[in-house]
Amino acid sequence: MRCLDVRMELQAYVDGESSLEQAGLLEQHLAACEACREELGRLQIVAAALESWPLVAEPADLTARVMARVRLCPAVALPRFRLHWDDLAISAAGAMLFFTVMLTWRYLSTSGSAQLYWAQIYLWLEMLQLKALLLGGSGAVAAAQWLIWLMLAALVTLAMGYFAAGEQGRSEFVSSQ
Amino acid sequence: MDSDADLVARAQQGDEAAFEQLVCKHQKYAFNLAYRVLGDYAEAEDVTQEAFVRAWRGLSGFRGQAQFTTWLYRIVHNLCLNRIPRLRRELLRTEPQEAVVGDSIPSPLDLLEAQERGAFLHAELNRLPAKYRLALTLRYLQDLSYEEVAGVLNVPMGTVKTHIHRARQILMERFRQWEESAAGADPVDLLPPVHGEENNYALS
Repeated sequence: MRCLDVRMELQAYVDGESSLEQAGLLEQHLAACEACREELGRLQIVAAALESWPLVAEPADLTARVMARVRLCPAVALPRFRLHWDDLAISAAGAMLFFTVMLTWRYLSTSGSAQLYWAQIYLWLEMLQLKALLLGGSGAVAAAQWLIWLMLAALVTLAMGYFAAGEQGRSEFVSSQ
Repeated sequence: MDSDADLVARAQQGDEAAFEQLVCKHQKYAFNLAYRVLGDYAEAEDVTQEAFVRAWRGLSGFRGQAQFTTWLYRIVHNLCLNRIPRLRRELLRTEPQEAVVGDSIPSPLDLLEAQERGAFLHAELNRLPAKYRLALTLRYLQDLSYEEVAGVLNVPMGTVKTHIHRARQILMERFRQWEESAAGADPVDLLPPVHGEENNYALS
């Protein structure tokens, strides 16, 4: 190894992050090169200084001062039962899975226009389930994600109904309004 | 002793004694983090107090996904950013910048009292730019991983690695200079002259 290569690797060696093979090569070089041994010595001294960087004593009454301020703040007690968006999402995913299985069975046992109706419900539930499984989260961000997801599901459902109904279905739909 | 998770759970129910234990346990590190970044004892105390008060008020939002210490350090860090607004920009900069703040390297004579190399390096650590002190403190104060340090500072892990690498390079360079200047100084020059003996060296 050249000295330049050794210098590049020495920090990893000091940090214990060199591979065995690399460490072996370094040690071979170090045994023969005084300049690199000196560099290693400096690195070890710097590493030791970082590890032993002394802590400053904090003010003796710091805890008391903090707690005096804490006691002036409103309590942060939480109800023992806490509901979070991600907990709800996991529960919802379980429920959706159950209903999806039920609806698939119903779908297979129906025919004609009812198929479209069930297919749309099925799609909705699949999307809700996917949302709950993939994007479980908490707080306002998760709530906003749910809203966008539901709007997307509504659009897909409308498009599906539009195309599946065909020309005749669409004109029947318009005349029924 | 109760674990942080137990103490946090009790504090979340409004148990002030549990929170007081958390303060006792972590105030030294929180204070030192602030002190190393800000370099001012009184300001560091203000920041530490404020950080714990914010932690108390924000405990309901803490769900234990991170360690309490990591969360606390993030609060301390954010409060430090408020005091040193330029630090936010500095943290994201990875190009080299001036190595040290303050005057030129202290001469070996200045360091006669502290002759040890460790003392010199600790002095140099305190002269590093704030962003390097911050990254080094988080890395070495409680053995936080690079990933955890990046989480606290809200910067990419590569940036943290670069800062720590640069900081060590600067320390190495300063140490090399110090060694050279110490080696170049004549030990006799470092001694104060003794009355009546000024000419004895010439005679001997």
